[in-house]
Amino acid sequence: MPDDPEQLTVLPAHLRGAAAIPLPALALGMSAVVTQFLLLREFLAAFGGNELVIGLVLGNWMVATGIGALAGTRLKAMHLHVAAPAGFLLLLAVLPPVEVITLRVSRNLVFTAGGMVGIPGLLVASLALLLPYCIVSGCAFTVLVKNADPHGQNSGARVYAWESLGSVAGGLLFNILLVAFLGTFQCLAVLFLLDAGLAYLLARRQRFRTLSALALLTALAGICVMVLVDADGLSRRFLFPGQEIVSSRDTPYGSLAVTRQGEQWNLFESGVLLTSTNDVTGREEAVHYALVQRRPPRSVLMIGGVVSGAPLEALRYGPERIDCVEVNPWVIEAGRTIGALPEDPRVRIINEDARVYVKKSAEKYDAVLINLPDPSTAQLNRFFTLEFFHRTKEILTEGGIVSTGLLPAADYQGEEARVLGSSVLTTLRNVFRHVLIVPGERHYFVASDDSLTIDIARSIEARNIRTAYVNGSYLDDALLAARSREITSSFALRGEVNRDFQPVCYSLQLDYWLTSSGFSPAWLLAPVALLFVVVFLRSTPVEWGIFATGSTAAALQIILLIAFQAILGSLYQMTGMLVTAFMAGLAAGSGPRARIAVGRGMKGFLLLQCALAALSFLLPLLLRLLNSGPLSPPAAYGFFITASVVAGVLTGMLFAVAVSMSAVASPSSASKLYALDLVGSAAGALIVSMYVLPRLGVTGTAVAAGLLCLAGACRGVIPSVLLFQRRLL
Amino acid sequence: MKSATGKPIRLGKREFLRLCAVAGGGCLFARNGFAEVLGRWEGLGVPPALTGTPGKWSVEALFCKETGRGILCQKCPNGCVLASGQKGKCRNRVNVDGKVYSIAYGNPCAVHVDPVEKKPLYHFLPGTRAYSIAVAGCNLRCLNCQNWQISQASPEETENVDLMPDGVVAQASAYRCASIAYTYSEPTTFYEYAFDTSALARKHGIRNVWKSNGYINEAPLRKLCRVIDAANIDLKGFDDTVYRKLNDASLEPVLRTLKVIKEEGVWLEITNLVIPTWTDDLATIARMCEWLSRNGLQECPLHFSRFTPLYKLNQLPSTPVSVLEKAREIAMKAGMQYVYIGNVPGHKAESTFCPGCGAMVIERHGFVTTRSGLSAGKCAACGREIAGVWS
Repeated sequence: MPDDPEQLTVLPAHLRGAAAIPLPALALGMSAVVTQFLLLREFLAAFGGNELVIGLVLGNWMVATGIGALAGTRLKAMHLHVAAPAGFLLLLAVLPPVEVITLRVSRNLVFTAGGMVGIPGLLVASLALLLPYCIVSGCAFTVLVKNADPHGQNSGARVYAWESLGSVAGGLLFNILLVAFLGTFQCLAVLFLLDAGLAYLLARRQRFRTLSALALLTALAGICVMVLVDADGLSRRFLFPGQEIVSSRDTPYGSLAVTRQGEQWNLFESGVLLTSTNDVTGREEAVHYALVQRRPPRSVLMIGGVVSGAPLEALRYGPERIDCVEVNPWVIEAGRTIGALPEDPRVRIINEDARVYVKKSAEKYDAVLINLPDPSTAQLNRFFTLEFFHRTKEILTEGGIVSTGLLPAADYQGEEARVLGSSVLTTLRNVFRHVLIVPGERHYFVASDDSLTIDIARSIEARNIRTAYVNGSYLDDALLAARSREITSSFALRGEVNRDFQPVCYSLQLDYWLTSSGFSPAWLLAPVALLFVVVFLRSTPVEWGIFATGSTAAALQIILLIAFQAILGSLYQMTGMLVTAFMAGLAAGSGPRARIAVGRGMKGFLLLQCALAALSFLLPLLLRLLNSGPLSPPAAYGFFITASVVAGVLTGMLFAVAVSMSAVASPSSASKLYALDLVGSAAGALIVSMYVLPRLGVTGTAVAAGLLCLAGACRGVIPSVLLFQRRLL
Repeated sequence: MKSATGKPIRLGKREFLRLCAVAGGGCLFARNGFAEVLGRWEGLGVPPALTGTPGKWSVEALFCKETGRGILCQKCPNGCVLASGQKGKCRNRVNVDGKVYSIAYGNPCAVHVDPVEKKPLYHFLPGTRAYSIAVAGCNLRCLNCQNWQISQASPEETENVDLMPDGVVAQASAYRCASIAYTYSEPTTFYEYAFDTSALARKHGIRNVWKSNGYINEAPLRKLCRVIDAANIDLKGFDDTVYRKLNDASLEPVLRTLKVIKEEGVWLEITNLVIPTWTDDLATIARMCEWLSRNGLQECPLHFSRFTPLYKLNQLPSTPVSVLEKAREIAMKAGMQYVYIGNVPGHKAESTFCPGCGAMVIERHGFVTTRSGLSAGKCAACGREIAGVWS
């Protein structure tokens, strides 16, 4: 019988030795990275949110995988080791679709339907949902190390390298092929067939008949379910209670859904409501407060809100041209479906990232209308920065107008709202001579070098433009002026300028969001800080070095992603490519040749830590150089990919050297280092995305990451120095 | 190298798991965290204690009673029992050394002049302005609160102005406001301030408007009705379960409030916010309208208001206009005589129609009203009396 332990002991060496590493480790890496991308996208679609949500989910992913890796060290039975890779692969095939369905179904059952989910809820939900998959994949890593190397001959780095290589392959597969052509469940199907098929082949090769039959049956059952059941459609309905889903699509920019309630159409992107038809007030305010200020504009640029009906409003002024920039072509398609885009030759759709378009455009506009959500993400913050407003001014005609909205209307501005409003006001005042705040459903900031008027109702009537809301029936100019003065004076206090690499508004918006969810960042910060202290005090220098390296690497990755978005736009595919480039670096760095190049000793380990710290210190300088000069996309892409690869190589080499240095040199020590690396990365990702980057900006964060890495190096140096002194004495 | 790597690995699996448990536990039991996991956020207990003595903007609170466990606040159905140093759920009543004080007296955080239609009050002095004030605090926890930054805060946390009752009345006169509105947050929580201001305003010929969630006990309400002229009460739904989940309150006290205000002869209008998936069930709306009609409230204007995504309910779309129109039809069928649709600019149901002949008696475009069809409080076409306070 295949599962007879007696028989297993006489299995040929190649079935359980070193040769058994590559394929399962590759599959593990590939499966994990694709699942991570898919689940992350699902979390964003279910919970909306910002980079903090991404940070939390990724943090939990790494913690859960770390737990799995440690748990794997307890699986001692030899027969389990040999059978485990196939068994784990089978589980890894089944778990992702189960987790995606569970997430969609439970979102509005467990949490408030249509409501915001706060940090505690998100933490618990993401950990609970990720645990099964991550525990299995973490266990699989450890078991692969043991299985390949039962006598502890230090093969952890090899498994790490193959797993990283699998991650690279998975990253490339997902970012180039899957995300462009397949939806979530189609991707899951590919993954399922790959893992289940491989599990079957491995089990067959290792003569586990029961397991191979089980794998075969699972694969067949899975295929039947895929063919017969519309799991995507059925599970997606739970995300939109009370709404009929007219169409949905997973685009490279996020998950899009068009829903209908009666006569009203709604468009959601990654769980965030982009627009609803019949939002008369929103679309009129976004257009008329700005356009009514001057003679009828000849050319208008619209950034965001393209499918909100705003172009229709702007057409009332009879412009020669309205350019609407929207990066996601499927949003435009959805806008046409819901009838929100006018079929007018004067309206030109530009499928490009708006920030990139503004940076390179040679056109001139009389008005630029920015109709975007608040700067609640780093990606959105790019449209509220000094650099962006400066460039926007350059494409305006003389006396041209720019308008942007911020924060929902309220009868009182809280502290967070006041500081955030102050920042936007100050940033705009650094660029334009006049800034007018028009209070509406949102606060509209209208800016120009020419004078501006708050007599909105009178002006619109003078132009004889018929509107449903922006007119004298709803707006009393005297009351509006009084409210505008009041808000302007409350916003004009302590505004800090918002910059690309110092995202003050993002940080403040984060505070505003956390306040509204009744959560203090300190509650998350405290346990993470405690974790740092405990690991620092209770681990060996090498362990601390790996933990600190994980945190530094996570910080560098986040910095690169944020900077990439600021400079080159929100190209999700490229964002995924950066992560893949980092993983490619990891794979290369943890390979045997790279390890030999620096040597196995502490000296090499310290050298690498110093190199990673140097990269951290150097990075902000290079980014500033890149952002200040004229934009050369190929050079910029090259820079970001190279920087990601270098960070990955250094991290991978550090891990490989750490494993080789471990005195115990057992598979379990490799797993512990793996777990520490993951937990360090998780802690770094959390603390950087939530606290450090929004407050310290790119430069401060990079310096902090470099110092952390140096602290790791110091812990390695000090004991050696003490030992040297003791010897001298 | 021995000294660098020779130490035994200290962070074992158990310690690691323990660390994770500490970290996770810290987050889970963070402020409001556990409550959220259970499906409720806050409202599990009274907010933390206040230290110090009451300051300038404090008066001894009304409707308090000593019990063995502390002082019972009888102003609203929450019935907070406050031990020394504790604050009520509303965040502005505090027990200082055995005496409960309202710390919401003369310190409004929001002061605006609004058209009275914004409250909304359509049958009360149309076309006039209301001097509107709010002090931080609320006795409910609505997921969709527009003014959460003041309703979910204490007066100590907001930026306030110093405006005692005489100042409010003087300002209202200066701005030629026909009324003073106690609004934005929840006036029940700044009852003492609103009551004194109302009494003084009346002496100066200025009316008083109460914009409230109606979550108040009968005795304070009856006392209040002696000094106020109009009220708009939010009837947030007609299902107690939804009331508990959406607002952290219960339905029954609000229904009692509606009846008491009517009995006391204060002009009453009712607002029902129709929230998709929460309060848009047409059968429930029908039951609500039948109850209103059955209890003699059919002449009270009923405003079906359109929901827009706000605060914690920010992932729901707005209410489709057709749902509001259906709700209006249901209400009129149930006998409600003046039913409006709010937050839909330009909708014809902003205007007032005579329940007798159907003629338009007041034409409204936003806050601009034309009373051409109304003559001395009667329909100009058929002579039927139109309920309201017109002068």
